[in-house]
Amino acid sequence: MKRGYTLVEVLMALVILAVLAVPLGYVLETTGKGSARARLQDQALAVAQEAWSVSRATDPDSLRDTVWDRDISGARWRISRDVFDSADRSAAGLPPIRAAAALQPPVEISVCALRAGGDDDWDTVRCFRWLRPRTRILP
Amino acid sequence: MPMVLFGMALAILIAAAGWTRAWSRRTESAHLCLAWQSRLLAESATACALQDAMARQVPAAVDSTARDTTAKRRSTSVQDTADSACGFLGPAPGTMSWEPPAGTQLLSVHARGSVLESGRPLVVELRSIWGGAPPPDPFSPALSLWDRNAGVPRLTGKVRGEVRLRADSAVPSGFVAQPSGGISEFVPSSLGSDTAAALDRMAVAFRSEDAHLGGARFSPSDPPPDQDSLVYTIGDVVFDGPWTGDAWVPGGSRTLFVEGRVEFRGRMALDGWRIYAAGPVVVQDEATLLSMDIFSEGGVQVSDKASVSGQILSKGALVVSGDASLAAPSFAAVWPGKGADSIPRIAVRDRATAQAYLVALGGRAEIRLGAGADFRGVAVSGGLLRVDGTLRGVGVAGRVDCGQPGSNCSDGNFDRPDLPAGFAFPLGLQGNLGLRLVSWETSR
Repeated sequence: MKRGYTLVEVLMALVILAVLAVPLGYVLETTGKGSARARLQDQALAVAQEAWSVSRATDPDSLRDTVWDRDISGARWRISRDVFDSADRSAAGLPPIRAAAALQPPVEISVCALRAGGDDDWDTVRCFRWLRPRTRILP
Repeated sequence: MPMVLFGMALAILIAAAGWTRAWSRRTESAHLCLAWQSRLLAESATACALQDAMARQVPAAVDSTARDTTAKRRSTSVQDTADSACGFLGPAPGTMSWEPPAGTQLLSVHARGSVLESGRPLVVELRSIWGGAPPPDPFSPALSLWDRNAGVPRLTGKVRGEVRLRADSAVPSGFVAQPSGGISEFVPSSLGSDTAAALDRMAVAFRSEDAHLGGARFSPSDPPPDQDSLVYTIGDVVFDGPWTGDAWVPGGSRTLFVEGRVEFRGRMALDGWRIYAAGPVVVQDEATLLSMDIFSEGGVQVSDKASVSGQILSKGALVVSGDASLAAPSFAAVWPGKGADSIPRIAVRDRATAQAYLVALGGRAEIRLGAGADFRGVAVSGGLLRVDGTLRGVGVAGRVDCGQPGSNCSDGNFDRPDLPAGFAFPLGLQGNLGLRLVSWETSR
């Protein structure tokens, strides 16, 4: 004959459930947040890589202090771009890059990937910087 | 009760799996980001290396090969220094470095970017080759002949494309008058100082404490030391690859200084090496030497089924024979030496192939393209240009006694199709329209 659960058994199960539910919930929440953050970082990297690819074929001066908005997978992204050249280096008190007869000094380009937060707020997710020759490079 | 415990265990398992996945996802994401940063650093180093190489150009002497002495030209001085103010405005996420380029004709840049990942450096290396983007006009005809005092050339072969002729009076029918300028328009202005810099580097290397007295013989069982720079004085250096089986790959790029002869034979492959030799450089059998910078004071021979690409600067002769090839991208220049090397010569003969920019400096210089040889590119000779086969590209010669036995042009065919895609012009040409990226390679 099949016997049911006793009150003690049910109470014990509820206690175990209560004890484990809190850390389990925490773990699941943290896991979700971690994955979302990693996904966000990956998207920011992809957006920055696209910006890098575009900026390679663009005159550096036209990138100075500009933004470029993108919609990716339903999310709004903004690319903030800036250029630092010899004059900026001089203003920052840095030694000038030696001028070449046939080549202008390289410029530093910065690209930041920002995610729309709400109320026209933008959260910076990733920033990258690199130097590129100023001259136009032919394919 | 058991069901409840089972359910709880399952929930814990799922949570643990999710945690692990999220953790590895974060690690993966961070690694991708660091790899990208190190790549950007390597690209930045490439920009700085270009800057360093080009910044070394200074006004200098007039080249002696210029027959038109009214054409003043610049020369390039390459100093062996890596000092540079090139860098980021703020703190960089890692480090970048680059090797000082060996020459300035085909600029071969080795750059690397490095960031720390879990205490270990994550390194991205970039190797790129840069050439010039030349002005179109001097390179548009099939053949340019610059001898002011010669008679009418007799071109007995086929010519497809314009033939330009320098003449004081009206040019004969079938020819087009050369515009003002000189043959120097086809000779890189920085050639003289590139060679001077190479000689300086050799002198410094042979006096250094790193120099080994006597030569060396390397083979798969006795490979060269794992050092960036190898120096051998008073002796020859031989790289002996196997005759059968897989080719021997002696490893990453090095710089080799040899006071004697350098020989590569058997099946072997080198990539990106820099060789400075006081004696001849011989490449034979099935040796494959790619993206090389070769400087020789005793000539260069490429024979059998060997293949070489890159930059070759040599006194005396460059001979490509047998089934050998001078592969693209390549730039080769020869100039007069002493004794037997007093006449600078470039020969592509037998069944050899060449896709290159060739320059033979001096009024007695010779470029000979054999009947069975396949040449594509630009051949510039201060003296004789003899074509027994077909020159596909641009021929430039200082003499116009075409059709005379033993002289230039002969029965050769001149064909001016489009130059091969990615054809590399030297950076040091006057009037270049800028830099051209010839090849780009990333390795980690």
